[in-house]
Amino acid sequence: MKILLLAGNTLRARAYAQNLANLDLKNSTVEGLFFGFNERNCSNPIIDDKSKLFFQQEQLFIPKLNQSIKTTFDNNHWKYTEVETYNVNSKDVLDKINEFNSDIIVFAGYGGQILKQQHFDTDRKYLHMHPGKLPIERGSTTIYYSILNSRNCSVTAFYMSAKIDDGINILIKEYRVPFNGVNIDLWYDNIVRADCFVNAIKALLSAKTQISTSFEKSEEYYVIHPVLKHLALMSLKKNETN
Amino acid sequence: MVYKYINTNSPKEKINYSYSEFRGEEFLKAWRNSRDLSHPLINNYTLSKGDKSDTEKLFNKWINNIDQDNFTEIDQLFLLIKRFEVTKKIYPSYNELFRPINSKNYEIISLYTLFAIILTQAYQKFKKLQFLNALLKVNDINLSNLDVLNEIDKTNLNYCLHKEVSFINNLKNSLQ
Repeated sequence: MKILLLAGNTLRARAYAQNLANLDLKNSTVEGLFFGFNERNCSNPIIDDKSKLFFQQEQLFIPKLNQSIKTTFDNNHWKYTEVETYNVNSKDVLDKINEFNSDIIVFAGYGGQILKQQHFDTDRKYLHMHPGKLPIERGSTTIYYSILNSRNCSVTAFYMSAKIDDGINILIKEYRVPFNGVNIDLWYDNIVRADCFVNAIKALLSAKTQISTSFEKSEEYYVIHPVLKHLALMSLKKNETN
Repeated sequence: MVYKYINTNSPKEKINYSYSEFRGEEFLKAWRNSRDLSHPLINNYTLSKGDKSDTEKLFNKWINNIDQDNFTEIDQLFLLIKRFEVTKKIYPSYNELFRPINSKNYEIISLYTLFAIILTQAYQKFKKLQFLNALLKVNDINLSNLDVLNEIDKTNLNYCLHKEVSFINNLKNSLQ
């Protein structure tokens, strides 16, 4: 399988690349198309103790989010190409994508970026990991709504279409709701999405996907109001082993 | 701590709720202080004649019907919420897809208080978080424009604020 990581200079892209590096990719290749790196800086966080303990207990891989994606690619001898523009829908990016002959394009763009129709005019497959169960948890900040709705947190790996959070589901994986004090925006979101990503790749490589079209009613959520975000975070249980 | 989601330049300027910081009980106290409940909830809301704009007519119709079992326009309400969440604005006139007829006309604040009433009733009935989320945001806009509210708007806002605080308290208790 030829995997192309279409990546902005983001923590999520770093998490995806490091998780991918842990897989046995014998008959597969990984390449990168990085865009907008000169326009956007990325922070270099180090994980806090509470978050680290939670992910260790859950046996989830903890990426070094202070390690640049280029370092990960260099360490694994994966090739990458850079495009100056920050605009993922630009002709430059689309032309470059055409030069790769990828089976799957994994999208890890900048916050709020949406792939436009031009990306879907061919039969290319774009894989995206959404932090919510699709289609009942579409939209933004869905982890917090999962908590408020007393659901487990889910990540859906799906093949994208031009419609937001809509496509063919490959895999839905559930994760335990984090403990009080775990940094959701910085660590939990990135780690569970990266974990679901590699599980989706494993499933695709072994042809054991659960490709499905759900008939559940679609619901869309919007950027959570800080009051509701606080209620969600303050409802999280303390880690009793801490 | 100051509750920072009141902006007297809204709705012209969008209030930004992205990546909000966690500040614990201190933040919730600040939010609670921003909701002036010193006026007791004596009356429910008050509807005007509904003849000033298409949206006012529509909102009055929804307010009168939303509690009925046969309220069939819930999808329309969800679509309006989607538009509001993107623009943070309510317009006096829309097309059938809730796109504004005139995108520059969005400062009739009484429409925002009516929208808050609808969201209050919708959350009360359907318990969907999208309604509560939008209610918090539209109440922020209403509170940002206190000096332009007339007496009816103030009565309506008072009703919505009482309800909002009650909803949040109940949700908080249910999560414990």
